[in-house]
Amino acid sequence: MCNTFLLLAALLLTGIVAASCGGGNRDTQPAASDSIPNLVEEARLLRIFDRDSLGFTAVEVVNPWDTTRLLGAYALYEGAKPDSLPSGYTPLQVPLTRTLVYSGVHTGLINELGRLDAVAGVADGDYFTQQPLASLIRSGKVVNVGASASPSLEAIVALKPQAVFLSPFENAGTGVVGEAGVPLIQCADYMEATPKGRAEWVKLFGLLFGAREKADSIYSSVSREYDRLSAIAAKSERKPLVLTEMLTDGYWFVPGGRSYAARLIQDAGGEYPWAANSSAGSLQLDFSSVYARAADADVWLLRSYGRDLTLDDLRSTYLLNNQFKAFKEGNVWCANTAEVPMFEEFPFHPERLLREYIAIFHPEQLPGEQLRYYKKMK
Amino acid sequence: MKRGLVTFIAAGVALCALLGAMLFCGTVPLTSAQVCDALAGGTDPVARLIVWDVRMPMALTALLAGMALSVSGLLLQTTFNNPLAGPSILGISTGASLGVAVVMLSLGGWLGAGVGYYFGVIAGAGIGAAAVMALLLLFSEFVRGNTMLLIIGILIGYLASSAISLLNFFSTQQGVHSYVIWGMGNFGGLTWGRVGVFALCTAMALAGCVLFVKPLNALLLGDRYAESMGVGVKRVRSRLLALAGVLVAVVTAFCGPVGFLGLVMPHVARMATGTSNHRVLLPATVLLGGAGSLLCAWLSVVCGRGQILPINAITPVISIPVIVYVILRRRG
Repeated sequence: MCNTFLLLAALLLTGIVAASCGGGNRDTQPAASDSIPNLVEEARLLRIFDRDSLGFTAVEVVNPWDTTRLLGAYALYEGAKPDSLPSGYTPLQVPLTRTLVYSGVHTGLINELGRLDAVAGVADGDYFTQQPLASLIRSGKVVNVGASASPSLEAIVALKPQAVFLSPFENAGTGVVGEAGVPLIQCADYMEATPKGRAEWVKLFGLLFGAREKADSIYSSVSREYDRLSAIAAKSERKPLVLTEMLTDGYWFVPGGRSYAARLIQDAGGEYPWAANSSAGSLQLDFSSVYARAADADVWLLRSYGRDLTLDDLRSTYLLNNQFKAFKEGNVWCANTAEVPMFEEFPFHPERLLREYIAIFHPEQLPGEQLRYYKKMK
Repeated sequence: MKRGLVTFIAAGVALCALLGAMLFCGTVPLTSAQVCDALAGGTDPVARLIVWDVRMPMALTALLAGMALSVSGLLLQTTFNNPLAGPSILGISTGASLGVAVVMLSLGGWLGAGVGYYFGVIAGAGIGAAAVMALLLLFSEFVRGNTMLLIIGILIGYLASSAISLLNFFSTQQGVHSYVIWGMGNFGGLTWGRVGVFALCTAMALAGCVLFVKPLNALLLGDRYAESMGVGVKRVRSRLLALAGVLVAVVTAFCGPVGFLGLVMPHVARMATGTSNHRVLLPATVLLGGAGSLLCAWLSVVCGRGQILPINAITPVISIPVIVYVILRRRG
């Protein structure tokens, strides 16, 4: 009796573990690319292989948390489904005409490709501010399937999307959307370590939405401009020390030394206090740690949401903020992201933010530059 | 009395030692010589600012928070004649958290830089705690038994938690992140000016508690006995609830919700002094509560390897063995 109970318990536990693992991301061993060239240059987490002779394009998304494995693999084809699609690859007929897209960053990109008509649904619809999408959501022409963390499975099934675009998180699985039987496009672009690497993901969107040439053209233009601006920044001998973010509830989150944000500052000719750090994520610090390393910061970059901040606000929030050199010299800059489309634009147009940084760090290099996102705090 | 005296001396020594340890340990490695030099007003401005303006306010915040929470726990345990009563059990902490959730999550958690946001959080915590307290006081007029009132407090806490879940669900990722960070609790967010306000509020509430030593001792003998001694049980209960609520609200407003200290430190004081007499127990709880909180704050610094661990990750590790011991001892 006791043994039977133990056996049943073991089976039940195994079942629970198997079920909980089954809902997660499907890892696949990378397919050997051999002699076929990868069409991606900068992005580390995206691979594209043209298999014209077989009638499809292979797309692989590398797992950012275990780069020996894949997060997703897709075989894109036009017209009739080819007979020789590789196993383990999700077949997708392109161009997509009916999709569910979770992130405003990606809907912005799809809009830039001229294919907003292919967005049938979004998640977190209440927070979309970009036009014309915000109006389409309010009028119900684009369906809001609810919070991205727990969307309505019924709404997704009723929407009948050809694919769902979502941002993967480490060990988080895909939630109910994984149960809807719809191909999931794992948009791991936010885990790219370099600005140009992330921007290159536009190529994937171009392939999926039938705008390949336009996407290639956008990326070429972004890449060229980014390199040109970096070269301008590199001419400056002076490298201002750049502090970012601020103390909130006792913690100060700064980008790690290998992060996208740190790279952008360095490409703009700035010195990043935590450049030697090896983390690609963010560092959770306290005031002492930040002050010990960045007390002499020349520039301080902040973000707000809702209203423009003042130096008084910064001092009132935490009195010791006024001890930083950038504060004393009034060189504190803030982007009010409720009013400027910084978050929506910079992932796929890092050259715009780079230009902004250079104008702040080295105003002599871009004289008369009108800033797009940041304002000097008064 | 001799045991009480030993406890006072030991707690006082521990408290001073921990205060000193807080000044010499931090996320930035400073040598003892640098710290001493900074304390003497030395020449290194960075070290001076870190020791005088960061570490010292943090140590005092931890000290005051520990004292306030521990005394609130003692008041609640005596009032409800329940060893497991504490600030979080009665829903007062959850009420404060709800108030903060409304401020942070209804604003998307993104006002994070303005002075309005800062005072909004403090006001939210105060109003939330006061609202729960008001409800409890209202019910205390109708409910006779302490156990029933305790159950009502727990239920109010669940309701507040439900509202917080809803606010989280409909909030942005950034809002949820801000709220989670606040919920971890921290002693390092106050500068001198705000430590002064915090100290004043805490000191006034603690001084108020001294007036209730006699009724608290009477309540230990049961409601009827207390009434026979001329103690108006309902009136005293309401005032003790209000005092405990103020202490919790002030700490939550300035430091976030700090768990377990309020529940555990009164038991440590009872075990150390070997008495339930509040003339001894109240000051012992103040001293030991402060020392316990400083110990947790110190561990959060030294265990963090260059980062300060969330205070609520440390307090259960220190507190739960004590709670288990209390439960087992009562069973035995």
